[in-house]
Amino acid sequence: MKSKYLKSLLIILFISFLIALHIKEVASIYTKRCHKNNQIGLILPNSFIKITSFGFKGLRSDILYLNAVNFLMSFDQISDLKEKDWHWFYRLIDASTYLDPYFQDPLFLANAMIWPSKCYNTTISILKRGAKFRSWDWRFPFFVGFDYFYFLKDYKNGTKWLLIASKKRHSPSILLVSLASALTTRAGQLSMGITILKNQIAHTKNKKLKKAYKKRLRCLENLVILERAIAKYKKLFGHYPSKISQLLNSHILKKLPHDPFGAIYKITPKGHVKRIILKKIKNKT
Amino acid sequence: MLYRILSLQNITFKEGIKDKSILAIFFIAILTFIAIIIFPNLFARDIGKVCIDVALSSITLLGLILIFFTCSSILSKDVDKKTIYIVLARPFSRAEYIIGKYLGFLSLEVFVITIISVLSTVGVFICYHYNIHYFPKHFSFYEYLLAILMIIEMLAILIALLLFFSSLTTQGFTATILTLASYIIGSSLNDVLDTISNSSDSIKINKGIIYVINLVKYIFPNLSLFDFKLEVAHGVKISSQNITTAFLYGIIYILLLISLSCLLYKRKEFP
Repeated sequence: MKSKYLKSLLIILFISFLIALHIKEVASIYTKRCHKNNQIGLILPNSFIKITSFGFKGLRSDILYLNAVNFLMSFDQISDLKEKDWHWFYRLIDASTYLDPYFQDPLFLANAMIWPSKCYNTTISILKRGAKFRSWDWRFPFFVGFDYFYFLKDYKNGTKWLLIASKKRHSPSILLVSLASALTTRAGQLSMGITILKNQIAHTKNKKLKKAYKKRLRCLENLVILERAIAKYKKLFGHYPSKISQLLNSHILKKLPHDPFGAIYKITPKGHVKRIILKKIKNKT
Repeated sequence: MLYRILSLQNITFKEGIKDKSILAIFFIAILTFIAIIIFPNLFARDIGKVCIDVALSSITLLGLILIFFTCSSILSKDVDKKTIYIVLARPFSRAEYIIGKYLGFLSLEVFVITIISVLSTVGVFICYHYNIHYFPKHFSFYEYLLAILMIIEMLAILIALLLFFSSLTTQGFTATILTLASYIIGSSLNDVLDTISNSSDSIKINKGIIYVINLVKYIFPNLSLFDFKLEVAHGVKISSQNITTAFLYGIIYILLLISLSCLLYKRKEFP
């Protein structure tokens, strides 16, 4: 009797082991079939999924994420996905993060798929949920800030989220603040960049950080001085100066501002000031 | 009195151990152990989180199987095979019977959960050893064990509920269904309340339903209070206040249910 039990136990164990090994493959075959038959299926509202999880939210969230991954893998190329497919994919990710808002994998996947899917607002709202719950993690507010800047050209929100990220523990705060100010500068919003840095200097106790921010601030203030001088030059001569030295020759500037990072200034045909780091010039020569 | 209760507890425990469903539970526990090692590898970053999710969820699931299959079958056997008459014919009071049965089921639950927990903890430990960088920074085995203790307390409430419902009905099946319904209500109560409070103005919920749900809140146990799976899986610190509240809430609820069951059993007439 005992050996009979043992045999059946071993057989079941072996079969279960095989199933566990091929679980991913089985799931992908299923999603491929659904995809071919155009049967994407229905995902219930987030609150309903949460209520019906009965204390197994974490596990259900894992399974929803796996479904999303399998769905992506059922396509030969990412470009094959249509709008409705992306909608389905983001519904799965949204449900997964709603059940377990701390879960990193769906958040990273959502952010990685923002390029091909172009679902900017959906991705940002999912990432915001992650940023809210993972209050110790600087990466998700950073992603939100970056997405606002890069995809939506929303500089105000972009700066706000990059600054939130910079205040998190273990964040590369100096880089994030510099990035926020640089992006606002690039967007032609020098004054906003200066405000960001002044605000950071006022609220930073760390002396090293304060020094680094001051250096960056000096750099932006120099750009403001130069851009004002260029505007004055255009008013006087009717065209933009082609060289920075023209500002000195025309007595608009008494002396050239010194860049704290050792960069030299160049004027673009549109009258903007471009900083070129000297090291690069040395390498070129 | 204590001797009589302990002897009943001992009999119930031995009866439970002999039940065939225990074998099935241990078999599933072995499968879980394999799943803890294999399943997390399907994920990119949160391997530790998935590993702990699987471990704690399986402990809960197996504990529920034990209550709804083993404990309920033992209780219904007592009435169906009329073994309860043998017990009650002896110098046992009905309250002693209830307390003895409760302690018997509880010790069976603790015994089975301990074995499953040891297996799953070994699985988590192996996973931790090979994927240490993919585990949450603040993950602690102490909080993992605390979460298991809270699961045991939640199951202890369900056992008390099973005894309470079996004192209301003579059919074991009805008591099991009522306990299952209480588990479903108790574990989703917080989420239902959240959904109601967060529902937008466009979705209007009937006032009668809100009234019923608010009433249910005070009758059924709030089992989501004992759920710390997500916190442990992500290394989020569990506040000692939450643990103490849940622990005291559980103890008071169990004592109330057992006392009510004792009172109801005194008036109960067996077929």
